[in-house]
Amino acid sequence: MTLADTLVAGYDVVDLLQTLVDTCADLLDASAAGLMLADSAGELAVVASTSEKSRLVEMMQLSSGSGPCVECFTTGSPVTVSDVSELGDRWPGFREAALEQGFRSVHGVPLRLRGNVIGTLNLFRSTTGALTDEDLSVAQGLADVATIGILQERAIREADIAKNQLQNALDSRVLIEQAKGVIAYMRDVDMDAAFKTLRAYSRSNNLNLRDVAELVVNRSLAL
Amino acid sequence: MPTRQAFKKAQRDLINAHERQTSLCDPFLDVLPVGGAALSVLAGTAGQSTICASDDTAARIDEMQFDLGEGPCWDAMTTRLPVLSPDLAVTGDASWPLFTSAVQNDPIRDEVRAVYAFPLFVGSLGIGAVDLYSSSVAPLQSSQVTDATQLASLAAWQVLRRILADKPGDDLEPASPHNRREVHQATGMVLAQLNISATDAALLLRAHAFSNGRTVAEVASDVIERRIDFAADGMP
Repeated sequence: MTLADTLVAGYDVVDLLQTLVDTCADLLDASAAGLMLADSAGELAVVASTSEKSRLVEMMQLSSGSGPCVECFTTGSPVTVSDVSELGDRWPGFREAALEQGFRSVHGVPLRLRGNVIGTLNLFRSTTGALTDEDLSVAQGLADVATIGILQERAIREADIAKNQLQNALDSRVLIEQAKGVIAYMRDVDMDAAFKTLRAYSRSNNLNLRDVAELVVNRSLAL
Repeated sequence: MPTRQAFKKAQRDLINAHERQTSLCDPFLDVLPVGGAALSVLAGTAGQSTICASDDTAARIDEMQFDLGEGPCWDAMTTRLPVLSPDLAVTGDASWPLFTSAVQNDPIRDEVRAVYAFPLFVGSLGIGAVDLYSSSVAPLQSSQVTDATQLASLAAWQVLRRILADKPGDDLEPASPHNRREVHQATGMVLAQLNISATDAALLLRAHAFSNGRTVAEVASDVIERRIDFAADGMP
């Protein structure tokens, strides 16, 4: 699955993000890559990674609340660590975890949306070395693709929710009127009496008026 | 000659329409050279209804399109583009033969020489359309089409708010004088009479109306008043 495939309708955002970190690791000669996203409460979580080792290092940063990936998120700027062993006493927990997993350099770029940071894309290498300008540019580009993909998925989801709400609101009134008709015919009463029957049933059974109407119209319920 | 001021006022009127419960149709008439306007909701699986109409002719134009299932408002809704028919007699036949014929055979034919429909949608959510008619065959200028499009997008928001605020079942009275309440009630009666689906019952009503040269609303009324019973009379 290519990146292009994932940006069309019907795609799965999880697939997109996984493909993205795989591509990232590949293009940028990294041993591992991972993606962290913030939820609506602003809490970061690791949503995709190419290896368990990098996932561990990312998660460790999250639980301690410190490390280059976390800093990238809070500052909204790329953070690079060209030599993990040279970190000194900055982020000691992270330094230890990274070295233990065999990572000598770590870099993070932010996922940005209109001035807000929604996550980070993180690279892990087993060799030391800075992130070249070109690498940085590629990494940021991939992070931007991730952002678009996430936005699209959210937009589609929200549009679906809105569409369902609208559909629901419109269908409710129609269903209720149709149900009145069914009851009016079956009981040989007028529409007002039919409505009262419908309403009485929904109240005494603690059901939604629309739901009862739907049952009456599809003949699952005879009132 | 409507000025930019008139257009701005129309925009403001629409933006405040929900809160102030004012007409969604009037702003269009204030700005465009048309005789009347009607806003309809076309979304939803079983219903179309007119939310407001500036006069009976506008309401009639909507009703014809609901009954026949074709017409400029439907095209506007599906294409999401303005549908401009400045001379219905000349171009209407090709797109909407039934609708055009219905208009030409109705007393409204002298008032309805041009029909324009603008889609109502909010983001990607299609809601319905605004139908405008004119007794003159002079086409709308492109600036007027732009104005109408902008007013339509404001109106769409208002219609959406109205739909979502509406709580069915709260009262026994219809929310608008043009709604299709009776059509839905008759659909319910017919589906019970024949033990068929609501969709089939609705189609049956429409087919019966069409083949008898009557409106669906008229047939619905007869069904509700028990003047027509599809079970008793077979296919009346």
